Amino acid sequence: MSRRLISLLVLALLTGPVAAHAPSDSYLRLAVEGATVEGRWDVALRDLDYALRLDADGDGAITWGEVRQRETEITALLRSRLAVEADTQRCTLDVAPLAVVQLNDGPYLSLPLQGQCATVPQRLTLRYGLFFELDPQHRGLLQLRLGDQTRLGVFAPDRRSLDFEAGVLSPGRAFRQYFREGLFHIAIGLDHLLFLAGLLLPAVVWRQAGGWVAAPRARDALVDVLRIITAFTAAHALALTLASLGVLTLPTRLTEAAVAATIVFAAINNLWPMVRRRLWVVAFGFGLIHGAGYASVLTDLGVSSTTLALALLGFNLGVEGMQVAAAAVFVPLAFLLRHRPFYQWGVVALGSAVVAALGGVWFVERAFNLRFTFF
Amino acid sequence: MPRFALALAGLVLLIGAGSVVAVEPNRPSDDSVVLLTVPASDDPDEVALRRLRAARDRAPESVEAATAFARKAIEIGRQRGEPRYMGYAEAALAPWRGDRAPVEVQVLRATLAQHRHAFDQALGILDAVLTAEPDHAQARLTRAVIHTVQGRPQQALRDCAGLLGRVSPLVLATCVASASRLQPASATVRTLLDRELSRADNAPASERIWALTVRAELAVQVADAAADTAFRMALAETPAATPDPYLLYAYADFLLANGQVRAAHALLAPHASLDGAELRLAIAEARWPQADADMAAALARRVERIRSRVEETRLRGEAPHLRELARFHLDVMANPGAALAVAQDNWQTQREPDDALLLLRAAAAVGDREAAAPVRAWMNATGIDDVRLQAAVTRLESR
Repeated sequence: MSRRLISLLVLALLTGPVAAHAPSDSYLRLAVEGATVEGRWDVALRDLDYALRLDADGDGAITWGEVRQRETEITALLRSRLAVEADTQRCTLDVAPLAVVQLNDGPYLSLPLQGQCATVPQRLTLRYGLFFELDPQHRGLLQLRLGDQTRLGVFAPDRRSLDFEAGVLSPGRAFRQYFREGLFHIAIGLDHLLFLAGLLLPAVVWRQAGGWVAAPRARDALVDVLRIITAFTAAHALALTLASLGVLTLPTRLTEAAVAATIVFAAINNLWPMVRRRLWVVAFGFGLIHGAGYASVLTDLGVSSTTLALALLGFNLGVEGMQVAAAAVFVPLAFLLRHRPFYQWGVVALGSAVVAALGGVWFVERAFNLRFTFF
Repeated sequence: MPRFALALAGLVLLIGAGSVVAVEPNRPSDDSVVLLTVPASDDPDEVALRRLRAARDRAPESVEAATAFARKAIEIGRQRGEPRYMGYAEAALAPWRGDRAPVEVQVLRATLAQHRHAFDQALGILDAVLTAEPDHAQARLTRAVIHTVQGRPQQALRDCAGLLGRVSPLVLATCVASASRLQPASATVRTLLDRELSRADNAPASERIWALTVRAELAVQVADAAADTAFRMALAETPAATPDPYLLYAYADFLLANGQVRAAHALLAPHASLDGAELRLAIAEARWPQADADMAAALARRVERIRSRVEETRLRGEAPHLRELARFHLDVMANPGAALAVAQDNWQTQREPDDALLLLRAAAAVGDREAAAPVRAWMNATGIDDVRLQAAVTRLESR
């Protein structure tokens, strides 16, 4: 072998930290809440340039324009290199437009991610395959928030998928979390609020023999209201528990239609009284139907029975709490105004008519699987 | 509010803000915004690398195409201090696995392992290659360098001797001189190196840079006044804009050791993006001769960056460069306890004069003579001559 042929690598032999920059890393941040995945993936522009040659005009400067022109291609590459699975079922993963972010070692392209899984994952699998064929030293650094825990992980050529078991929800945390869920369940559940309105509107003044009767004492009115609400919650809790434990399963479409029907009934009952003395019994019956309709809230929790019981308790106390809060605001105000025709006709009668109409629309939609688009 | 107080308030704010500005991702509104400067497409290195990459993509089976690309990638990565290129080289070699891989692939793989400080892995590969092909010059030279880095001058010199007639006299002389740094000082070796340097005007730049760097390091060890000149001569051989990182750090360390803080800072400032430069700039700022708000602010920012880099390395599941980390603890953070622990770890894998010096200095700062015992045993065993090591031992004894 002649010396002419050998061009020796000599400088490469000098050790030391001869790196100018950090090695190639991407940063993947994901948060899984229930069955929803959200996050952001930051990938070094330098790496994307090596893969795709982004410097179109070759002037040594990669501009935003050059990146934007290739955005579809960049996004497609990234999307094809990442997958999220909930219990072996692939979750959808949608991306928002690319952005730019400056990190410690230079510019990165940041891809916002949103995804939906079919179920709340017991086992979450993440698959990652970016750049490994170009640079085996590339690493995907993962920060995952799953439930109430943050986990870290590293994707490497010999570790392209990572599995995470959803942590066991602690009983105390389950209670708190589901108490909050219960509050929101009422606060943002329009059908719940309407139903509640239907029951509460006639608490202080009601139709009787073609005229209006005002409640003589505030305390009686309040006790009446509480009785109705509590009966509703108790039934709601019972049905929800049975449904969550899998003892009682009803088709969703049926229960949702039934929920709408109860709303219509409650509202019409205000205008043409059918049930007056034992309204709480009606509320109990309605609570059963509503509870069965919301069983999905707590299924797939995958926790111990103690935790589940506490979660259910928390949820139902949240439901009750929000309803009582709504009543506590509404009833005193209504009591003061109960003798005014404006309140009797404008609020109770008209309100009940509106509630009945909305309930009717919902009933038709849910029972016959239709969609109205006028609101 | 007096101006001084304002400056102080600004500094406090800056340090309080953690100095690393967390920026939220955004979409630039202007297409002409430059996000990143890269080598232009007519850059000779870039042209060569693209050509070799294309050739390799056309012939994925070809060992020649793969090794040619890998060599070029290693050269460029080394020169630019960009570890990604080492990864590109590794990717090109990936199709040939294990002991069945062609020799050229194995040798390049050993070079990459050595570059990552995976010395045992590199030695394993090279031992196997040299058993099969004792005349493989690159393999033998690489093994000589690893023996030198790990403080085994005898084995290193044996490998250098095996290069006789297979490499240029300059490379041979540099190999010998480099290994002899761990032995009693020898005027003969320095003369040999000088003579080969004066004859080798037409040698490849990389060989001359290596020889001149070793020449300067030898001068430092014997407190030769010509050390500074030797460093400058070496630097003159490398492109001013992109000096060889190893050489740059060696010269900066020499300046810092001699208390020439400003000179070291000026030398490194244009190359602050280099990792090793960042550490040495931080050391210079920590030792700045007078109070200076700008220096203090720059130091705070650097400390933050170095820390986040160490953290990132840890996240990747890799070991940081222990020598550098120990210096960070000792000379920037003034935390000799942490520095000593890291320097002791470092001594398990790297035993060059710099590693010995670091362990002695950390041990002296802690006042732990016991910790320095392994270094002193090694000094006695090798008979190394190094004025810095002798001075450090004296300081340790006087505590």
